[in-house]
Amino acid sequence: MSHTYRVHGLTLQCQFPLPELARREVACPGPVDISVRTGLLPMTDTATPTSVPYLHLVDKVAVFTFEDTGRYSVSDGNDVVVDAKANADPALLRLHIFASIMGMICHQRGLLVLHASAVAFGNTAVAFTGPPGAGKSTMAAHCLAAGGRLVADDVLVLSFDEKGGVLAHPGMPNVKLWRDALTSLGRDTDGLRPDWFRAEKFHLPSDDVQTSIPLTRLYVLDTDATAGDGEYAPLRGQVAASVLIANTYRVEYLDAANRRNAHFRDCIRLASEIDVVWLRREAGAARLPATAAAVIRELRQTSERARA
Amino acid sequence: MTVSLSSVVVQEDEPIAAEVDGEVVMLSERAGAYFGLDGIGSEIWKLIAQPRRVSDLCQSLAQRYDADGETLTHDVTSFLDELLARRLVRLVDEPSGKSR
Repeated sequence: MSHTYRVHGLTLQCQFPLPELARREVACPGPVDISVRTGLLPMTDTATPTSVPYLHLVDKVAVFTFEDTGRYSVSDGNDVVVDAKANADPALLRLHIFASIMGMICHQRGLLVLHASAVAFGNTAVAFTGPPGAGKSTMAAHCLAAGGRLVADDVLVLSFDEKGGVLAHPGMPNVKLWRDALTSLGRDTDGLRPDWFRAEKFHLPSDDVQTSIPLTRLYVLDTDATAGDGEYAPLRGQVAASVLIANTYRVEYLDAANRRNAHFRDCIRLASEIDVVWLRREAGAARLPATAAAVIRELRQTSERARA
Repeated sequence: MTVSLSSVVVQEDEPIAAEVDGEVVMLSERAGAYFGLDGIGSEIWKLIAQPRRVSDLCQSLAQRYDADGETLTHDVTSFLDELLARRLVRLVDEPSGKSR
């Protein structure tokens, strides 16, 4: 019995259940975009190595080898075969599907995918990107606490609509948070599910959007001892483009997906379509509520100006 | 090989170049790298879409920016040297005596 889910704007059908996506399970699927099944992947000596140690190409099929759970093949952006080790932990296996495998699927399908978290206010969304630990998820969680709705956490899939605007697609319906960030939100860690890799990170189920939504702005998070609650600077031109390239999710898979050139053009296009804003704040969780409040205030002013 | 005032330079074909807010961004698969140019760098890049003599290039920039000739020449040639080292531009051999 297979299970069907909507995630990243795509319909995914899987032979085994994906409890992380339980909220996104759909009963009567339309056409299926991605099929995930178990099967045997023959070992071959014609596999071509890539710049990524655990990723090989067999013809155009991407084959991932993970010591912990087994081998996974991804072809044509729509077909995933999982050849799991006998003792593979199912939760860890699913984590690979949601991260590496989904990253490759998106690149093979020609979707722009950022390492970012996004939140909707009203009918538009904003996103947060930046290096690990910069506070992407935490900023998103504070925006949720202030009445925003989750679009995506960590992995944000974007596409261009017919009018040239940018659409953000609903991703995983949970926000991953560190314990100190949870404390700053006034939430306890009891009853939340620990993340596999990082025992100190917790999944926070959140109010999420179900449909794709226009993305207007991307904040690039950075920390600095003197920045206080937050300093803003608009980024344009080559800097904005380089931020989008650098914060592309699994950017190291582009060559294996034969998408380097097209991805470059998409980033250029995205840089001209949305506001890219540098947001520098003091490190640590103490100032986060104030930074988030300032971001939300600024967003409200922007949307009021847009209406006026 | 370095760039002098009498060199004729032109964009290399290989990098994919695109413009964002008037600034040029390039992907060179050969170099396995991305390059971004600032405002004036982008302008120079656009001016060498066709082969162009460096002295000629400096002259038109000097007029536009009302800049001191010597500093400008130095900045332009070292910028072009950098592009040349990264194989983003190439020098065009010109038969001597050919008028442009």
